[in-house]
Amino acid sequence: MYTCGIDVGSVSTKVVILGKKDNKIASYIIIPTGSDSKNAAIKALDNSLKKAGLADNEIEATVATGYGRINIPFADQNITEISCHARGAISLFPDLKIVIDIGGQDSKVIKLKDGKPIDFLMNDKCAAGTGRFLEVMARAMEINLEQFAPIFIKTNDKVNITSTCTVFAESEIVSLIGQGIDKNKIIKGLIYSIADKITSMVGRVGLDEPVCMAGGVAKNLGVVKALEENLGIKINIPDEPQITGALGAAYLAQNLH
Amino acid sequence: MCIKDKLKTRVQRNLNQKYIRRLLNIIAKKPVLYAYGSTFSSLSDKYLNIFTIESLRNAYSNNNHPIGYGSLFLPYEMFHALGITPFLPEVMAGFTAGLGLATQTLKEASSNWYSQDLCTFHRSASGAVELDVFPKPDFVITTNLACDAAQKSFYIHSVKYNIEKNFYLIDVPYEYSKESILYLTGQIKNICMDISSKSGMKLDTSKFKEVINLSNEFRKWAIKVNNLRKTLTNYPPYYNGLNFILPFHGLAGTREAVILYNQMYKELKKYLDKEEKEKSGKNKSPKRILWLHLKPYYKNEIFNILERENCRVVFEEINYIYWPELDPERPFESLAKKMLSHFLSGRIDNRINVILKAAREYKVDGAILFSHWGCRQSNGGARIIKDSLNKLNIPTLVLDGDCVDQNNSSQGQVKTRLQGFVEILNS
Amino acid sequence: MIQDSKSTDNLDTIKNKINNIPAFFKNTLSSTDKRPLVGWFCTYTPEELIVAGGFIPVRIFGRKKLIKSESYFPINFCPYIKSSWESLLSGADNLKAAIFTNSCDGMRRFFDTANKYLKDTPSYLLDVPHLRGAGSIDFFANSIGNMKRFIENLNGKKISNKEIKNAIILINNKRRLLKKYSQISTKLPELISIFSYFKVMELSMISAPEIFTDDLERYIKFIMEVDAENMTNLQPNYKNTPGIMIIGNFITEEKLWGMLSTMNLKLASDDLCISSRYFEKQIELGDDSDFLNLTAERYLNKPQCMRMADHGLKLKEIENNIIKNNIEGVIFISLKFCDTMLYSFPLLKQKLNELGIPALYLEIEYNNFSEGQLKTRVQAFLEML
Ligand SMILES: Nc1ncnc2c1ncn2[C@@H]1O[C@H](COP(=O)(O)OP(=O)(O)OP(=O)(O)O)[C@@H](O)[C@H]1O
Ligand code: SF4
Ligand SMILES: [Mg+2]
Repeated sequence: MYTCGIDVGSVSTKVVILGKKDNKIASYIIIPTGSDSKNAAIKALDNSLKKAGLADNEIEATVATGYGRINIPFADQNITEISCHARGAISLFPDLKIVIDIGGQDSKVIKLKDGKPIDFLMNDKCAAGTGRFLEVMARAMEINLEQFAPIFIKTNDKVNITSTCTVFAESEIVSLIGQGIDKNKIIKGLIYSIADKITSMVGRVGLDEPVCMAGGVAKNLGVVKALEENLGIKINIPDEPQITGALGAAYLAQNLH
Repeated sequence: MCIKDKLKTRVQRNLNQKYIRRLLNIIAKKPVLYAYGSTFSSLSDKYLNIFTIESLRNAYSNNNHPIGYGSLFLPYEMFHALGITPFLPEVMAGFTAGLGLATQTLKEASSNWYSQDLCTFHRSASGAVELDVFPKPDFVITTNLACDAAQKSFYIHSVKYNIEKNFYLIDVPYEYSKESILYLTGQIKNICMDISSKSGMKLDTSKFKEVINLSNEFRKWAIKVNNLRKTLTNYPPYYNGLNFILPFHGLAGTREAVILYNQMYKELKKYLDKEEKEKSGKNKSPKRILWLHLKPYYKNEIFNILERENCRVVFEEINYIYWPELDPERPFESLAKKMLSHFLSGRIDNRINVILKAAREYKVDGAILFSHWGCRQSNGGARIIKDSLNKLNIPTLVLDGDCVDQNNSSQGQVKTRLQGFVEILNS
Repeated sequence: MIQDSKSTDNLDTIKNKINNIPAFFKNTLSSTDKRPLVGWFCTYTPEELIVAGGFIPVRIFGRKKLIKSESYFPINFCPYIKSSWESLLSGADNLKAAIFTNSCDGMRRFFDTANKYLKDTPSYLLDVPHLRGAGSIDFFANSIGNMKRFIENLNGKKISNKEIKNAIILINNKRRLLKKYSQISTKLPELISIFSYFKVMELSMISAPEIFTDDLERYIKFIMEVDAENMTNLQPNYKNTPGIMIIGNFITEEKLWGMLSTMNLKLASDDLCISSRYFEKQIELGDDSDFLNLTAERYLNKPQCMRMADHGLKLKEIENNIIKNNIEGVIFISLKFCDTMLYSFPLLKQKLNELGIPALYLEIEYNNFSEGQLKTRVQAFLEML
């Protein structure tokens, strides 16, 4: 038998189907959430069932998470991203003390003790520490998100991005581009501005190792590098960080019944 | 549409002083008022609303009594002893939120150069003053106790109404000491004398005694209520301890405050007795939450979410009785001591002591600090508060939001945070 | 070396010389004074008592790059406090103690935080009343007395009346010279850049007062000599430059002062706690030997900070300044999240409207300071004048 975890995020919807006996991922999928989260959830589940070659009734239990978790008709329970990311990350790195999840609109820092969350922080109203912000900025500079890491590594200098608010930061970047400043330096500055925000959140819960980073932005190795530099530690990254929440949800579904 | 919603849309459409006065005159008429009061599910809620409306009606009614704007944490006993009708702009700011007027008042404040980063209790009140929807004051009295915002915004009100000469700041020193008591007693006394000579209202010692006695009586009932709550887990569904602000402030020293708390005691006692009887049949007992600072005063889901997640706010910091019994023979000094005893005055340790004491006495499982955007004095201490509670193994959620401005937080985020917090409490 | 050839120099060379602050304040900057340092933050802290106790009073200017301090305070919190906390946490200032005031909510919580998390540096909070008048002066004198005892305990040495008096004379002299320097720079904007002006102000608050006043005295003398010789050909250039008044709080952004120095404006007056609010008004030494009382009186009656209760008086002070100094425009710069400063603007704006003085309103954060955006706004404002 299998369980299913579904993470309906603000940017992308993730499904993981997990074998109950072997705890192996039978299949997973990541699709954009779009404007209809319910629809995205149904589509993602269908696709992952197909991918795993399974039928509906082989799924014993489903847990939904993410901001769209409430709206999922086929879920048995909804649990927040905090518990799900913690559970997912713990299954990959057992002694974990801190999980950082940076998604599209939220960033979270979760503190764990004996594998269980004991404290967490979410970013404040301002979106300037999240994936969406990176996307908007990348678009403003006509650059792919995938290019961030190589640019980060090869660029030595950075421009200080001073605005802490998405709206202002965007106009600041536009004006920096207007001044003819090297885009690479702007990107490096941008990455640091995000890393700095996350660093202070980690400071608030208290840095403790090992640390794992999950969520889509963990694929942005530039941000990871900057964070490692700020915190002075090595950060564990899952093979597919974006599905950590869904994976945790699938594990938590095993506890149902 | 129920009567409350009707009132709301009426005021929204006719946001001016004259209309509000007319409306208050109508609903404050005994039969109407009691009909309105009976829409509330409990007597204590009913009394709270009736007393609030009556005191507003007095403030708006242009009668002979002088009107004094007052900020929170003032010794309102002195208002009642002097026969000054208190009007509390900060509490009114809470109403602007409840009545859906805050968008309008906040916008008005912004266009009058109030920075977006200032506390919305004060910004919304200032907007209302600019829009001229509050009654005109004869005196403006404020204090630096707890926060800087009041003394600053209230001064602007006094200029707006051209009565800078009648602006008073009660300057509460940092520490509780002999010198502080002396300094503060002198101030309170001087202000009372000054107001008395300007308003022609006599400063009558027997009246003062009466007021002080009532204040003590309220204190007695409030302590009884607080003690009762130590064993109470199930509350009447309507009950929210964060609604009862006026008895501690504008109504301090009045019979109304006594009646209200006496009634609250009876209601909660009845509930406790019932609870004791039904104890055996209860399923999972709820998680006990300590609430710190205030809450949003517009329609919101926070307490419903907590209820659904089987959590109960068992005590609110604002209901803590922090002051010693007042001495009717030494009213000024007593009031000075009352102000100096406040846990938001001076060091954060004063506040932490109250919080930790409450956490123990009310056997809480977790604490929620509502972090009202722009409240420096409270949020500036959030880290220390959290660390102190964590030492007692009490998980603490710092919940970002805004008490007045609905647009300053997202329901989704609030929900995820609360739910995530409850998951931690349950794990 | 500096003094030789000035009559033959052209204006640019003279300017470069005068604005070479490190050269004039060589002694201050390379001071080997071994007295321990006591940090302070707010201009209501009587430095006199720190000096009398055998310490050097240093104002904490803070570290602008925040690393550790962010996690102690909310994001919307005074940038000066955060950067000062960064500096205290780093231990770089090597302070014997730090003296706080209850100037505002932020400072109260800053003190609590230091008290709780900074174990090695004793901290003290000086209670400053919000009112003026006789009762307040007595009360404040008593607070200063308590602070005196705190300082005495730092090195176990009683502070004598004579020591206080000498310290008062010393700091009075510093204030006198700073005021003189301020008047000269207002008169000679052509010679003294805004950047240099604030650099000198900064030095005055972080250095051993004895050496600093010596250096400043020499510096002023030099400028006056240059001025006497070049008077006629310097004045006309500045005829059309608008006289600006800057009103603000702890604005120490070097980039900002540098930027303003390159623009066509004359800093004709200010209301800043790193300038006039710091050096205006002396302690009046007369027959009275109750020095604590005299000190309390000076500090409560100096040009007041926005945290004081009587905002009407503040407005009056500003109005007088505007009229006396022929101010044509006001630049209001507040650090973000400074409540008392921000609350002062609605009425100030109204007053300025009455006086017909245009105002530019700016809120900045140390790290949130985009030079380009700011420059455009200041420039547009100057063009408007
Ligand atoms: N290959 C990639 N390289 C770099 N960044 C990526 C990549 N893929 C995704 N991202 C980043 O991840 C973000 C989305 O992450 P994720 O799917 O975890 O968000 P979400 O769960 O939908 O959002 P939230 O949890 O905030 O509701 C994107 O905004 C983008 O910045
Ligand atoms: S919420 Fe905070 S800032 Fe606002 S009035 Fe209350 S104490 Fe002051
Ligand atoms: Mg997510």
